Amino acid sequence: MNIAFGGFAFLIFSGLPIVLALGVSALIAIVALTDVPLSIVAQRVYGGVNSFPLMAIPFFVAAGIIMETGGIARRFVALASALVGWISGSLYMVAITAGTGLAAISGSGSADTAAIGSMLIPDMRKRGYDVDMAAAVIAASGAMASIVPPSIVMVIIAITTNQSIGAMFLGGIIPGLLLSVGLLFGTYLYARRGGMAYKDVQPFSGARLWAALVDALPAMLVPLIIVGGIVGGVFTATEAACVAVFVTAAISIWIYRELTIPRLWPIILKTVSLAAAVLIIVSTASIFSWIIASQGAPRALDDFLRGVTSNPLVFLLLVNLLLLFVGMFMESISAILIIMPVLMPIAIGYDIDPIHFGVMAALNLSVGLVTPPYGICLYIASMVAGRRIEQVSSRVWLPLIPMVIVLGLTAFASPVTLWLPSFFYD
Amino acid sequence: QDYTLRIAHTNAADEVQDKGLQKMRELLEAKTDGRATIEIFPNGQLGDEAQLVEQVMLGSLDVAMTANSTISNYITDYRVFDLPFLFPTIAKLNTVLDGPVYGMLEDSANDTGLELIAVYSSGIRHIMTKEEINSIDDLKNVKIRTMQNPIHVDAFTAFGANPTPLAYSELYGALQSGVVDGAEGAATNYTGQKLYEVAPDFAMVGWLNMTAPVFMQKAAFDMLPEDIQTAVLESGRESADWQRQYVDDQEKPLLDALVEKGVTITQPDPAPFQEAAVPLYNAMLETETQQALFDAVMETPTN
Amino acid sequence: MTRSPDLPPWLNSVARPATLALTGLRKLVDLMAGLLFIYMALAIMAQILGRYVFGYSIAGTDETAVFAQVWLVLLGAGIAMRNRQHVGVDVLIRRTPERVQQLARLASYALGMWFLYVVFVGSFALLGIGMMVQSPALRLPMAIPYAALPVGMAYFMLEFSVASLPDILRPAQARANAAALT
Ligand code: NA
Ligand code: NA
Repeated sequence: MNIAFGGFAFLIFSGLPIVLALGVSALIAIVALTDVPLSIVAQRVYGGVNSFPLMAIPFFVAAGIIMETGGIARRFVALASALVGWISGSLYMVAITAGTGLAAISGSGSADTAAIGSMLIPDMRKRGYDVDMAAAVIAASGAMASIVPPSIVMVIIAITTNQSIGAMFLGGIIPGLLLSVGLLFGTYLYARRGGMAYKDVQPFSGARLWAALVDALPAMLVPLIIVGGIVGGVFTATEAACVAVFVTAAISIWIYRELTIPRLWPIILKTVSLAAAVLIIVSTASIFSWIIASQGAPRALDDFLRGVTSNPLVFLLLVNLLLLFVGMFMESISAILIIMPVLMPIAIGYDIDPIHFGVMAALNLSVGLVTPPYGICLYIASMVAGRRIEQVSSRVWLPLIPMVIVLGLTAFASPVTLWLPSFFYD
Repeated sequence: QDYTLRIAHTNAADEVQDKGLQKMRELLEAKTDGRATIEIFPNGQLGDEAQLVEQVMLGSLDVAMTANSTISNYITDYRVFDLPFLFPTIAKLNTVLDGPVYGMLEDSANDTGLELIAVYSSGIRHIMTKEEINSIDDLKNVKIRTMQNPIHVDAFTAFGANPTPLAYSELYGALQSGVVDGAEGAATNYTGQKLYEVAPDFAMVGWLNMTAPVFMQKAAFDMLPEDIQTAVLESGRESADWQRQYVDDQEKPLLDALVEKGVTITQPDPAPFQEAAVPLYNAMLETETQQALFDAVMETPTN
Repeated sequence: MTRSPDLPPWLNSVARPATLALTGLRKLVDLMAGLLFIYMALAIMAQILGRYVFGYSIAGTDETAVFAQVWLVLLGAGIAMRNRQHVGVDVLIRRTPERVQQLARLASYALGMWFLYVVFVGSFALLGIGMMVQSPALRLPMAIPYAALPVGMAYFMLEFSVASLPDILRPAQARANAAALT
């Protein structure tokens, strides 16, 4: 087992793509620790993607790209700007508010971060914002996509632990809103004392807000259809993701007229590439989790944790520290696939509600999207801002403080996650 | 230990199927004075059911236990055991498995390169719904979640329902929100997944007595010393006898507990269901060996 | 992948047809993957409409959609490699001396190829089973989805090599490229 983790830790820094680093280290562990035929590797690669519920992922990826290119994202930013553009540090406020709205359509942070960043960073630079700080805040705004439903990370947590995707989605709404409020508040406090650049605001205009609201209204239907459709029993999460593709495309083509049917083809090709990059990790990570499970790790970890503590709160604290650490280095989906099947039965053994535990893990791993050295939202935001990841990393404390506070609240106050699902799911 | 067999399945630890394997471990260790044992991997830790079968076939796993509806894709003769209303009670299943049918099951497994070690029970499956089912007519156009197995789908079409295959993990939410109106399953599934919270009516139709075969790669089995082979087969069959009885004994207290939780249990007349299922028998029996196995099951006298 | 003036003439005569073949192959793979996605979307839509409009589930939509997903992902893994969408962390390695970087790149490439090759070879054992076994719902040969493994891995190996080899063979060029990027 040390071989698998040690090999992975080494390979991950060698510049090898993570998908291959996972596969290679699992393969080395299989060769070193077992005498099973290597066809197991091909079997697990196949088994990793042979899953109906996982199909939500390519669909949510497609909906995210359509949203980014078809005018929906732009209208959300305009609405956010009309809504909060009059507050100190206005562009931070706009980024976070728009990020919350986009998160309700998009399943992963990458598209959101790219969309918000490319729309706001030029303006932020012009107004004299600290660009590194701006990129860090935008990374956090994009990372909200993993906790506000729909969320690819939650789909995978629900699948690997046999929980309801719908219940998990509902559980993410309040932590997502808390995160949004926390980020707004934290950046506001900073901006108020941060110098003249942040005082530059647009005056509030009711007429402008009304116009932006009307313009964004069709796009605001999408989250309603996705979450409402799942919770209301119209369709399953996978079907909802598929509907989201058709609805976002229809809005972009026929209402906003910023997309044409022929232009869907390049979007599909982009979807295929991005979705495959996500899902092939599911495959190689499942080889990794196979070797871990077959070496008896679940039982060993269970015994270890029970030896350390019998207190569920201490357990939750340990898990959060572990996930924060893992989230610094690892891509969130492979982290889930390797860790959640081991942790979930232990959590249930401590009488922790699986939905609470799953949502907490999703929130923790969305924090991981912005923590250096490796965080996909941090990467994209740095790239869009044209800064080095190290430079942006030095400012990441600003969004991280509210994120960690909300994480603590979510971990230790279970009603934050369980209150909403309780109306629909028990 | 000189011999450790690694056994994987997708049921939860301590569920009825897992209990059978625990019994088998106990028996095997006793019979071999501790020279052989088994290591159990529950919960789908090593893969879903189809993957487990293939891992056994390719030699990366020693033993697997799956639902009959999964292994019957590989040992196609076992599709006979997917047919509805073949064994109305566990007692009938026991009688059949004690007779010549067991030898036929072993032969069919051997033909696929597998060795049959035991046939456990996953319980008798009934119908859970949001509205009471008092007769087959009440099932008309009701959306029932089934497994993704064509025989199951066809059976519920024959009963007049609208079968909807869904992932098991989606079931609770789908029942709660009304994507489906009901599902089929054993009392253990119904209780364990708390499905009674969202589908509080349980109609005791007993449409399927689902088995869970335990099997090993034949080549690997043949490599074991003869005394270990004997011990494995004996502890397999003895644990299966114990396990099926355990499942039977468990149903009554489970049902009583469900009634206490407010579940309405109904007893629709099974005859119209059985009649509706008969045409399936002819359609599903495609090969001579399937027909022979089916005949042997039907010819087993019921005591 | 254009004609490189600094290559010897004999290599250019090989490289040009190879480049053309690669371009054609990439177009074909893109076309297949795009159509697979469209099929998935239409199949799931048909499933929903089937349930609400016709009152029954259309047989096999979910099963074939999953098969399409398997093919899409295994082909798409190579496409993502071509588009440099498989993320990796090279912050640390970039700070090491060039000699070390060179060795690390070579080792990474060799290990990655070893892994992909193991999947490629192992998939033939699965294909053997897939010839005999049928899918649960539509009774299609399981060889149909299993065949995505060797095809996808072969394409992945090709794109992985195209992406890695130039940096390994011509380190000076790689360093210049890296400098231009940052
Ligand atoms: Na989201
Ligand atoms: Na991170």
